[in-house]
Amino acid sequence: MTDDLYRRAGVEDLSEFYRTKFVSDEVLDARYFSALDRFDMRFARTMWVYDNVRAGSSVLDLGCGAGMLAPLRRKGVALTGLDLSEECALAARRNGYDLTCAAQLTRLPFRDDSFDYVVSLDVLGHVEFGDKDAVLSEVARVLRPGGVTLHGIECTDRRAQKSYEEMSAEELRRFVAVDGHVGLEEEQEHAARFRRFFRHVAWEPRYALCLSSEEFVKQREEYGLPFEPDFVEYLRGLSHAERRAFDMAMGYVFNKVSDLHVRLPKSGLYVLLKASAVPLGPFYNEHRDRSGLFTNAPPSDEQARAFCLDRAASYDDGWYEPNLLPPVARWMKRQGRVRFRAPTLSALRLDLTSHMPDLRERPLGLELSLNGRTLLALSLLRPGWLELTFEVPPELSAAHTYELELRASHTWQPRPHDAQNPDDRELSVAVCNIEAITVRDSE
Amino acid sequence: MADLEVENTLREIRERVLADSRRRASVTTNGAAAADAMNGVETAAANGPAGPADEALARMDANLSTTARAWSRLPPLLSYRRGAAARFELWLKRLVKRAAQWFTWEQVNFNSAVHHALGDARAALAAQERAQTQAREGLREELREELHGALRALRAEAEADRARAAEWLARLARAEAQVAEAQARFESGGAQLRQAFAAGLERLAESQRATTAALREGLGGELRSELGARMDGLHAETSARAAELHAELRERVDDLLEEQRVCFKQLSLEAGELAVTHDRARRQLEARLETLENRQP
Repeated sequence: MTDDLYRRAGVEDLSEFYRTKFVSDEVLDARYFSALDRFDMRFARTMWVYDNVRAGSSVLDLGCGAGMLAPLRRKGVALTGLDLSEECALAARRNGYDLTCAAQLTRLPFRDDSFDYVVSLDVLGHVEFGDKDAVLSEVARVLRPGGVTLHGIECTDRRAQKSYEEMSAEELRRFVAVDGHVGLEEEQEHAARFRRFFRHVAWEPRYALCLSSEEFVKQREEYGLPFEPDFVEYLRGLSHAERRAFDMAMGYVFNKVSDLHVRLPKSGLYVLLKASAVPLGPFYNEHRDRSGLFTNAPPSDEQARAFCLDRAASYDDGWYEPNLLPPVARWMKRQGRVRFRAPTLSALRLDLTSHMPDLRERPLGLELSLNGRTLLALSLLRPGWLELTFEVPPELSAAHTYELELRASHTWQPRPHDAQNPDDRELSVAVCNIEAITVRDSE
Repeated sequence: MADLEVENTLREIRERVLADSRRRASVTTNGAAAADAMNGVETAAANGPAGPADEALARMDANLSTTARAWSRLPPLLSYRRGAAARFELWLKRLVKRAAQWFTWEQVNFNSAVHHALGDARAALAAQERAQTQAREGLREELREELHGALRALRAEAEADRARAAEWLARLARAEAQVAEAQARFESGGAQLRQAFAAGLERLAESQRATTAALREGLGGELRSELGARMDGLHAETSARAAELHAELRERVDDLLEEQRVCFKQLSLEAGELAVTHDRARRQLEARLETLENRQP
């Protein structure tokens, strides 16, 4: 029936469909995860899982996509990912999963009692009704005695939404094309289904209150949810930085709702669900320990001649989250700062590039300073990578704490140049391979 | 009755001799204690912590059997005579015992107290010994579990390291293959392009020359010179375009090579970082294992 629904919706190659939906150049690798992102609405479900799994446990991520649970590595979790799409499995592996594979959810390629936790986020809504029981049976099989299964599941509201049987071919095609949902049920139906396999089930309707700006627009435009049109229009007009601020505020409220155990009403949107064969602990924050999010110490030691700052330094708000260009690099806004510690510092080396289309006509001016002292000024005249190495003055070399600042003369946005490109960020240069060199050549 | 007494006494002597021989056998491993034992000196080391506790308890049991039997026998009603002489002696001892009761009862009380105190002490020591044995077993089991857990974790980490290393090697191999392929493609594409372009230019120049020659033949001098100038201009324009294309191609190749350099550098930095992390984790594990080994009794 899944195939029927997908075929009726015009989806021929399921793994390709999910690859295009869920694989992007976003870097989810835990080594690049910023502690501030715990408030980002995009990571709200990830943080729910993060706060509910034991440090050092084993977790299976069903339908891992590009690896939204990668930050769990900061908790020392052994992370296994499984997805329909080979590309998604590879992307999750690239993002730091210990093991990934492509397989059907109804036949998990793992032995009985293999995992402490089995988790899925935004997956069971993609599983057809006839397959759901088989998936849950497999989840129960691979879960260790005393293990817990956690799910974030998309829902429907039957009073407001047509059933699949009632949809016309065109309606079904448009509905499935948005996200690939072929198995939406109401919150209590999901819970009842889980009760057939697990003695203890707890669930909380979520997302009735907090949604990301992007999700508000999508739910209104694609699913016809009755959000106020002027509000949605306002959200559509926000810049990238404003959307980020909105999502952070929403994520903060989402976390607070969890912390205060506020029970939200059913919304027909989403449900968080926990189930186990043994009595469950608290629904939220059962194993809350976020200390791992704040420790990102460089793997260097006193003897190292140089060490990389890409994952070890603190990047301020002048930088965007890392992207896979390739390589993995951070785009800078007009100005960005990098803070780091080093026992001694003799030189800095980095690679940078810009994708500005009019670089030849309008060169990009760049200024680099360390601890407030300008060390270098240059102009980028052509695209392509440029390796910069500059010496640190002796009077700064023993400062131990450093702040490297880059200032660009102007920025650009990909979207106005390319109407198909949804990227509306203000970009100047992308930087990677920042190396702190601690020993002078003469030594 | 005398036979029974003799039999009991012999049994006690036998038990004491057996207990003593066990003690001697155990303490011969300890030079000083063994020397003391050979000299008949009951040292604390020979009786106490140096020997197994079970033997000490066995000796105590033997001693207690003596005190249990003899704590109230003052004097002992025993005779080595036979017949009437024995009966007379026993009658006399009973009389003496009854007459001296005012004198011996305090000693009998003392013996009784000592016997019961020793019995209680023996029970307490036995309980303590059992508790110590259980605690030792528990500690040993706990340490064994902890050691096995650490070994399992070490093994799992080694497996993960191996998998990561394999992945890095595979990625490096893939990247190298891609670089080689891209370089080959670019070189071959560039060569083909240059060749095709040169051939095209040659053909164009040839055709232009032929056309020019034909036109020169057919047209007058003025027209001929004008066409010649146009042809020269076209030739110069074509050459300039070819040079531009060549420069663009070179720039693209340079950009690609530069991008590959940055990717390789990133891979190298990540590999170095990984190596440092793994080395640090290995050293921590080794230190933990050493601590566990030292803690094992």
